[in-house]
Amino acid sequence: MGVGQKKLEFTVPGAFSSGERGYAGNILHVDLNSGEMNIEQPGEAFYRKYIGGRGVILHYLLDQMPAGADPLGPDNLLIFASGVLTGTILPGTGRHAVGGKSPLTGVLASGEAGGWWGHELKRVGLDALVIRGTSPSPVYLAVENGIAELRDAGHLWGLSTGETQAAIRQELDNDKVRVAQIGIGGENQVRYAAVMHDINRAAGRSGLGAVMGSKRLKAVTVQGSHRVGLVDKSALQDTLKWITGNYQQQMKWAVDYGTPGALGSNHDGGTLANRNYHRGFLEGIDQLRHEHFFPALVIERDTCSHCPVRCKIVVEHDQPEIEPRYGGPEYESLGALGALCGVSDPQAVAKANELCAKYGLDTISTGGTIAFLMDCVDHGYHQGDYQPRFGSGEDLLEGVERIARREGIGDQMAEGSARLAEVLDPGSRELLAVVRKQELPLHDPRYKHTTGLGYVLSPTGADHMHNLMDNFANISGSNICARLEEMGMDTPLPLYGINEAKVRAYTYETSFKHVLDSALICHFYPYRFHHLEEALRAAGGWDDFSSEEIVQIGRRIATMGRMFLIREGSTPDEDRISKRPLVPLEEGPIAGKTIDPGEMADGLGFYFDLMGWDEAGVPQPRAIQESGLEAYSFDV
Amino acid sequence: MVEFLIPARNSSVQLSADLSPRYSEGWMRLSLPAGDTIRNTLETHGIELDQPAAAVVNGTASDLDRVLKEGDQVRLLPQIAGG
Repeated sequence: MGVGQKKLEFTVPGAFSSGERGYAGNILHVDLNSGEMNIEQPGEAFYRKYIGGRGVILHYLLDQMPAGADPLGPDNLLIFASGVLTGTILPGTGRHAVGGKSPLTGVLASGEAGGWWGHELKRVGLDALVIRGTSPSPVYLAVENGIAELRDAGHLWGLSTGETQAAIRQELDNDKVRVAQIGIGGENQVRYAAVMHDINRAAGRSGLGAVMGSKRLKAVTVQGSHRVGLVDKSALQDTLKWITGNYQQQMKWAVDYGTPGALGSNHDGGTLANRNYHRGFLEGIDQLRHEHFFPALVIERDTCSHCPVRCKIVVEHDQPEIEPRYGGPEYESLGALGALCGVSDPQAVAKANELCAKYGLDTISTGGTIAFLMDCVDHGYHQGDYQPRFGSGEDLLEGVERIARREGIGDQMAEGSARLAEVLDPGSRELLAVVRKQELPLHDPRYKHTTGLGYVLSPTGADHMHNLMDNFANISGSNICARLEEMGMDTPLPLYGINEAKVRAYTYETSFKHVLDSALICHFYPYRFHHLEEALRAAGGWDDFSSEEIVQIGRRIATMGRMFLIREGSTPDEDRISKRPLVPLEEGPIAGKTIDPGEMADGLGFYFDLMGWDEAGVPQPRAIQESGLEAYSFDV
Repeated sequence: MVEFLIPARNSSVQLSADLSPRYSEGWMRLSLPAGDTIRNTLETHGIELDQPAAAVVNGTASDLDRVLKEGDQVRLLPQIAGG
């Protein structure tokens, strides 16, 4: 087995093991080339500067990944990072982040997952894992209290995520072990393969599963017994009291139907991108609305560590068989595998979602790529033995199978729609819906113009999470408006258009969300700046932590993302949305609407200026210095 | 007058006592005067949904500061998933 015998024993700092701190103070480095492992103990200043999650991921990518590294080669890093709040008593902190250089976009891949894995990572006494190199043969990393071991995974290669989790738990004789892993999508290096946790929680976007597959790392298992504490519990009391007393009312939408409940109103309001952005309505939409979908398929609700909301759905069906252990589709998955492909058959959409969990594929890019090929068939740009048609659930399911296995045209589909277009008729490029080769989430930029600007500005390619939603910024009293008012802004903001106030709002909102994705807190909770401020004071004992520092850290992370993007060769002409999602519709709630190109250009310029970057979006020395990032090598 | 449609099944709505909603096909229907913005009309009549809501006016997704005209039809759509 060779590398299979590599083992490291490590100790956990006393301040954490005694339950008096939110972060463990240990980061495990694993070199899969040699099997060597070591522990880094970075110290308090590191945690206050980067917080965890995305901040930590970007630190290691800028500091330790060679510039220009092949995303699917040994020099890329695969980083699992909890945040200083992961697993604390604050509701919504059962989350962690996964990151690396994306094989889909060539820039940052940074995805967050809920479930139980992140909390368990902390319970073993680790804040993060930094994995480099490529193993000579398939392995998995097993971490239990104080012991990390690389074990042979040759017998697991080729198994589904459900089979792998069951096999590992049997092998370790431990049903409580938490498993992060890849399916055959990651093994086959599908450029948008996901890292799956608890088999149904994905760090989905940008191809981190392919990075893991390229390293021949099948899984990372964690099981520990430490209790995650806080330095200053009293600092969190007001926030704890507020959220426990208010979540049922403030998060009623999540308690009632979770994100799948958004599909109907988002369709009626113009947010869904039906049939690859061609139609204003989805034929048969009623079948996907929660009023029909829930009684037909949903058997129970599920939740993440430290979350009373239970927003997740669990679906089950006989023909086609849909296994409940794979959970159920979220809004984005219903939209991408359903509306985007013109498919309104709830069983087909739920089955496609199950296959994506079983094989470890990002549902948004999977749906986006299949929808793109359906569009190419409609336009006569693709001939061959697989001719998927809009609206066909059967074609949708065949597409998922082909992608995961790289069968026939599936081999090119596994490269993502932008690379697929390169081997089809050149006319197909007009049909792409991507930013930086990443398929757009289901928030139509013709409706949400500032969200569209955010797609362009995200260091990860099109992303809807660290973004500003124009519709919520237009609603008085929404969480976004409440946060903007904390920052001294007047709200509400106009629904349509991009102006200086909306760009400023985007800057605050993305700062807040970069810190959520670092600390690591669920975006669905209605937390405001002062809540996050109190939570970070409690986690680190940083009693002078302020909302201004949250903004400062958010700007630091945004700047690090931009530095990485530029260092890896992105050019200003990639700061754009492809054509198809900007062509105005002739029907539906957003007929005739699109982003004004002049407003987009002005918005980019104003944002760059606010951030202290030049007109091409290159962070300038003063901005780099203000964020304390001078140590990173950054040649344009 | 302007007709407001509010989804009745999954929204709890607070209303001024003087309003008399009608219910049909899963919607609560209210007739309110034209001439003011959607936002102000809702506030004036004490209409408060339990979730933030966007508006579609005569089939078009509209800013809540759109001024309503006689005969307009406004559908309120609860917005969910964070925000």
